[in-house]
Amino acid sequence: MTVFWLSLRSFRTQILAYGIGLGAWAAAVCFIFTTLQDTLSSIDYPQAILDAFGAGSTGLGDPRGYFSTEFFSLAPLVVGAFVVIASTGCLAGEESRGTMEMLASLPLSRLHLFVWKPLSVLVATILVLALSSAGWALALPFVEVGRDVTVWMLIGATMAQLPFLALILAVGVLLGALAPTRATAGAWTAGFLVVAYLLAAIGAISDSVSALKYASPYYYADLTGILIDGIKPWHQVLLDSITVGVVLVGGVAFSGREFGAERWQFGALLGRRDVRQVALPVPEAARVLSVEARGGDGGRMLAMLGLGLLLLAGGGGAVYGYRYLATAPRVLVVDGRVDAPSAVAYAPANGVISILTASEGDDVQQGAPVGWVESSTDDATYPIVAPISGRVTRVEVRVGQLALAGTPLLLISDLGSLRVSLDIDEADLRDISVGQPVDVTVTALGAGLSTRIASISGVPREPAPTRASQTAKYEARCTLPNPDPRLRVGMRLKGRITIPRR
Amino acid sequence: MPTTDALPAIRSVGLAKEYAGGVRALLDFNLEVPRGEVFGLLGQNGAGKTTLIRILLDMIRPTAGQAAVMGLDTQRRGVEARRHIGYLPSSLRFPPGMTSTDLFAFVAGVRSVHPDAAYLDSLVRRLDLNPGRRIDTLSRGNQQKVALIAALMTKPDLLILDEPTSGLDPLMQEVVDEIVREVAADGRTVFFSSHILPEVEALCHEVAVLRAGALVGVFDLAEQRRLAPRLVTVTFAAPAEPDAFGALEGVRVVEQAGARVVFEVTGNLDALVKRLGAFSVVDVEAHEPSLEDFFFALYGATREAPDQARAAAPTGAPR
Repeated sequence: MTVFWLSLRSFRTQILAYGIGLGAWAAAVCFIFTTLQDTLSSIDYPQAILDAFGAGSTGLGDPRGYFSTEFFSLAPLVVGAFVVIASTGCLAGEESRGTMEMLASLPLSRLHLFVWKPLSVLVATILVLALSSAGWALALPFVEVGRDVTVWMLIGATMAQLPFLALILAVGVLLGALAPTRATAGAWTAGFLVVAYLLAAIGAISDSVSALKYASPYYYADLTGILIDGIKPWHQVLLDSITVGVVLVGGVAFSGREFGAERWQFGALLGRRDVRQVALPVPEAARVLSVEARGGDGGRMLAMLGLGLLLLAGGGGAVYGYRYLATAPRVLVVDGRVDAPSAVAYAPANGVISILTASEGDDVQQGAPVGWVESSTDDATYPIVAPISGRVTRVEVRVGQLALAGTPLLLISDLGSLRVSLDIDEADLRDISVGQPVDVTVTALGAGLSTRIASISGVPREPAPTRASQTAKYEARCTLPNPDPRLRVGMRLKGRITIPRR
Repeated sequence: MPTTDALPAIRSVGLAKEYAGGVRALLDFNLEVPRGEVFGLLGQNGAGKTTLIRILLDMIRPTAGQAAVMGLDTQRRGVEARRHIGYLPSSLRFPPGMTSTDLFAFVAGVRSVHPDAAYLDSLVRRLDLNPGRRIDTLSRGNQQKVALIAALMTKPDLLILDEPTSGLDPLMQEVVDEIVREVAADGRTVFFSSHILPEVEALCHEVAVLRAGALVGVFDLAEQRRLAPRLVTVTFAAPAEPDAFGALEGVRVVEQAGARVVFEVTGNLDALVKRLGAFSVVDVEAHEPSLEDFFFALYGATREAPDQARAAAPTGAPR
């Protein structure tokens, strides 16, 4: 383990610099969102550009498209640069710096170095990602980004870079075991990273070359538009399998590598088979070699290789968990209020309000008169009829006032059948259907209750949106079979609707 | 553990190394280094000294043949073999940001031994090292001390030193020589490569001479010293006739300046001393025999460049 810690320790400055840098970038991307949102949604970007950066299906005004483009389409290149430097540095770099001389002279097996040094790079990469995740956690709560993007989604997407970065790490280690120097290995690994990225981007832009993207591991990382499209598990499995394969080839190459030879060592891939053993006479052989051969070393090396692979896979598994978060059912949180079926009693004729038999708070029956209007045209007196049974919740007029026929006079609400009214954004409308369960928390009472969507309004709530950045809100109603007696009309509440991922 | 006590500290059989491009660094190299000796490896730059050491440490693989350390094959049982080896590299590079104390703890951790704290302290004190300072801020000489202590601290059975005293001041060189002798007195083996003849002469029991990847021979230094011609400078009271000594066996007049005559004597001095009794002698000065000529002869026609030779052998007169 000491090799691991020594190596991890040597990365501490880079971990802090890359982690804090990325975290600050993440925070900055959060903070400028509200400022940029209107501008971004009004600019007509070419569709190909939006596609290439992962905002093709939503545009940049949508937070999912925004974060995918502004952070996740570029961050893998930045962290990738760290991984290129660290992965080629951890073994080939030791050699080029001359410190391998010391390590190799110690009783450490090649496999020991090959497992623990790259593992320290993997852990360093996870730490960088964790630090940049802190940027999201610190900044997002202060920014209005809408309900589609949560801190956990952003952290999940950040960690989801790991399998792609692990592949870059594996390629860096393999090339470090084959290339003459660290500089050569670094150049080729960086080339691999950039080509992978470009192939995927070009493939996404144009349909005529879209087949190109299938040749790029970056495509299978699903990082372009990750917040919109999520992740395909078989892509992940493919990527991890390639990584494990590259690591195994790298291990073979490293076990056969000649330190300090400064030339391409493809022969190392053949292991030690090219060594011509001298056929010694038996007594000679007994003197040169030890008395007995022991199998313990091979067993321990195998166990360590297994442990290393397990840890690599565990890294992937952890990401898998995060990926699950990103693909897990989405919980839509919407604003709403307590509502009751209400109806207005109108003035039946032009005239003076002569009598009001009901005042605010009175319960009335449907069809019963709640007052009278003395007509100014035909000397008759007309009753003001309660349109529904319920409680008078508002009285707009006083006795003696003049009213024209059709003027709203009283509001009667059926408090016996309270219901919940939710504001659904037009973008979410396609995910909502009648009968979906809703968990409601009434802010004032702190109490939670469960119900289902009973109806969805066909027309938007007023005011209808006038600008591109505004969205129309549609009312979804839910019934409350056994309302809490403390509930009042107009109380604010939050509704949580669970939506299966598309 | 299998009993490997009877096996030599280092043994190579038919060892050969051919680098890419057909460069032959070692050719059919057979060597046996007995335990408990200070064994020198002498050769010019490029003679194959470093190649041999790197094969012993399994950093590179031989093209043919085998090598074993303490009876452990360097390839198949390299980790066990290296457990017995303390190595001082010729090029000093350390992980950045480490203090000597960190490095010693790391080496002890990797070797999974509890270092003998008293021994470590005595090494640090004798070599006059400040272990709390970062190694990368130390001078080359001090870095050399750090690497030397790291190689010595776990008391390995075989100490491989590549140019051990380069960069050290003469006082420290003497301390290092002393430590090396102690290691040998302790029954452990020291294998060191050098192209500095006086250093090899001063320390080694046996010396293997390499030339162009081949072993020229292994020489017992005490024996060679006995056989080597030595110079005797005699100052007579009056200028002498050189002919008087020409007939003596093993004696040759090298130089004559008036009353001062320099003789080169091969074998013992008996004949010369008896003949001198017939003359009036003011002063006799016998020089320690130098093996320089002997070894330079072994190197063959390919002499080092004059400036290198001077640097390598500061006490010897350039030819």
